[in-house]
Amino acid sequence: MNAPTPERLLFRTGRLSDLPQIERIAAASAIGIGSLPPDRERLYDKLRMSSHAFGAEVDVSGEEIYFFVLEDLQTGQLMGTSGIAASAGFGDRFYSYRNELIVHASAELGVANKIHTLHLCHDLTGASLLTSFYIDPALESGPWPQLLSRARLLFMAEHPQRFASRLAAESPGPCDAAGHSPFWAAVGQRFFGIDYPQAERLAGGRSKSFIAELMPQYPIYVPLLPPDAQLAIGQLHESAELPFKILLDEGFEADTYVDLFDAGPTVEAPLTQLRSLRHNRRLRVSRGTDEHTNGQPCLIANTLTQAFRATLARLSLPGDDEQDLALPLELLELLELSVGDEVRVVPLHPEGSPS
Amino acid sequence: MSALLVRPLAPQDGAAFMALHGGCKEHQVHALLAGSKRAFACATPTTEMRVFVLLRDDQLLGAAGLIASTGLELPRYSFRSGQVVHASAEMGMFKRAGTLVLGNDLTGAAELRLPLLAEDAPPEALALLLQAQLSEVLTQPQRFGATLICELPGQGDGGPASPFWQGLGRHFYSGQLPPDDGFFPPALRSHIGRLLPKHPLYSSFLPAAAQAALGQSNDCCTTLAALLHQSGLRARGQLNIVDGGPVLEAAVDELRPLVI
Repeated sequence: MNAPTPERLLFRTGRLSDLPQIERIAAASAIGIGSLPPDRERLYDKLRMSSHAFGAEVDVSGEEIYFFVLEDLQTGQLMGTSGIAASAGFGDRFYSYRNELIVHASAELGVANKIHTLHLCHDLTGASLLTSFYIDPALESGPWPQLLSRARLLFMAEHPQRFASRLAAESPGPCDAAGHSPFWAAVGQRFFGIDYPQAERLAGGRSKSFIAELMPQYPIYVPLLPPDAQLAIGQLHESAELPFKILLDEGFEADTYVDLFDAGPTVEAPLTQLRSLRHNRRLRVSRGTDEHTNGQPCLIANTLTQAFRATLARLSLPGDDEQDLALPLELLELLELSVGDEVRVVPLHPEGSPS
Repeated sequence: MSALLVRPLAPQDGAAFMALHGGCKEHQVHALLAGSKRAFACATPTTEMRVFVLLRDDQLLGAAGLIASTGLELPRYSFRSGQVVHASAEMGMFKRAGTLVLGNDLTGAAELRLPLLAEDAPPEALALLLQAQLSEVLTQPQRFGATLICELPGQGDGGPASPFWQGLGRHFYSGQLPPDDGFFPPALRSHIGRLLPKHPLYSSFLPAAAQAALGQSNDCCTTLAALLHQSGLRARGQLNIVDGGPVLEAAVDELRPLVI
C-alpha cells in the first residue's frame, strides 16, 4: 500500500543535520551511476561541500556540488534527494562513449554497411551535471518527482553564473540485483576481470575517470559485442525510468552519449533550451488568500541561494504583461518570502496539456 | 626415372594448367601467361605474377606464383596483431590486451602465392617449386620488394566456416565469400578489406574460437610452413583478414636459399 500523498512537500537545500536521513536514503537507492554512496563519510563530505557551495560567492562553475532534499513538512521525513555538480569531471576528464555510425562501403561489392560504434570521449567535461536523484517509491506516481527534478532547473535559472551553459545527466543502465551489467561484462570486465561493483570498490573514493583510464581506449564496434550487451546500450535500469522521462520532457537529448561502464544513456542539452528555463517567469509576490491557489499546478521557487526553496502549488498566473502574483500566507512562509520579493514560477505541465 | 623440371609457365601449358587448377577459365589462363611473361622480363618490381610450373616429361605436376610487389593495384589488407597494456599500480592491475589493427603493411612486399600440386606430384614437388621461386628472388633482389611474404591459410575452410571469419568478418560483410585457391591474387579480398574495422580491435572481444584461430595455420600447409621456416620466413604478427592465418615474412637480404 502506498502511503497517502502528503499535502505539502518542500524542496530545499540539504543541511549537515540531514545526514542520518540521507544515509537511510542512500542505503535504499539502487546500485548505479550517480546514485548516492552508501558511506557515511562520503555523504558527510558531500553535504559539507554542498553547504559550502551554497554559501560561496561563485561567478564561474567549478568543483561545487549542490545537494537538495524533498521534505515532508508534516512528518519531517526526507522523501527524496537531488543534486547538481557544477562542472562534470572538474579538474579531470569526464568520460562518455559517443554513439557514432561509420559507413563501410565497397562499390565493387555493392555494399554500404552502417556500423554502430562507441567512441570514448571527453565531450561532456565541464558541463553541469544533474545527480543524486532519488524519490521515495510511495511518491513516484504523483507530481512530486517533477518538483524534485525540475526545481534544480529553477535554481540554475536564477544562478546561471554558477553553472555551465551545457547540462548533462547520467542514468543507470540495466543491471541485475547483484549489480551485474551485461555491457560491463562484455567490455569492462574483459579488461578488469572483475564485476563493476568490485571495480568501484577497488577504485575506492577515486574518481570515475581513474577507472576510465584503464578501459578500452579504441572505439568499440558494437556488432562484435554479445547480443545482450548490444541490447543494453542506451537502455535504462528500471529505477531510472521516471527521472529519465522527466528529463526527456524537459528537452534533453538522449541519443548521443552512453555511460562507459553500463551503457546507460547520458542525456544532455544547452541549459537555455530546457522547458523550465524557457517557460519560467520571474514574478513579484503580494499577499493573497487561499482563493489564489485555484489555478494551474506550478512549480514555484524563491530566488535565494542558501535558503533556496521550492514547492508545488496551484497558482493563478498573471497575464503576460503583468508581474504580480498573489500568494496565501502559508506559501509565503513556506518559501520564506516577504511581499515584494520575487519568485520563479513554471507550469507543471506543458502548455496545452491537461493539468 | 625421368627428371623433374621447373620452368616459367609457357603457352603450351594452357590446357594442362586449366586441368590442374580445376576452376579457371581460358581467358584467365591467357592473362596469366601474358602477365607472367612480362613479369619475368621486368627489371623493376612489378605487380604481375611470375608463374613457375613443375613438369615430369611433359606432364604438368604443379604451379606456383611469385609477385614481385604486392598490393600496388588494389590495396592489400592484413591485420597486425599487437598488444596494449592497461596498468595501474594503485589498483594492482596489470592487464595485457591483444589488439588487431587493419592495415596495408604488406604493400610493396614480394609475395609467394600458394602452389597448386597435382595429386600424383612427387613429395619433393613442393620444395622444388619453392626453391625456384626463392632463387628467382635471391639472384635478382632488385627486381623484388624488400620483404618476402607468404600468406598461409588459417583454421577452417578459408571461407565462411572459419572461426575467425565467424567471429569478425561476417559482421562487416554478409555477402558470399569468394573461394580462395591461394594461387590467383584475390581481388575480392581487397574489396572485403575495405569493409572491415579501421580502428584497432581488442582481440579479447572476439569469441573464444576466433581468438584461438589467430595466427594459426591450417594443417594442410604444414610441409610448406616448414620449408618457408627453413628459408628464414617467420610469423611477425601479420594475419590473413579472412581466416586469421599467419603471414610469414623475411627481409629479402636475410633470405636463405632452400637446400633440398
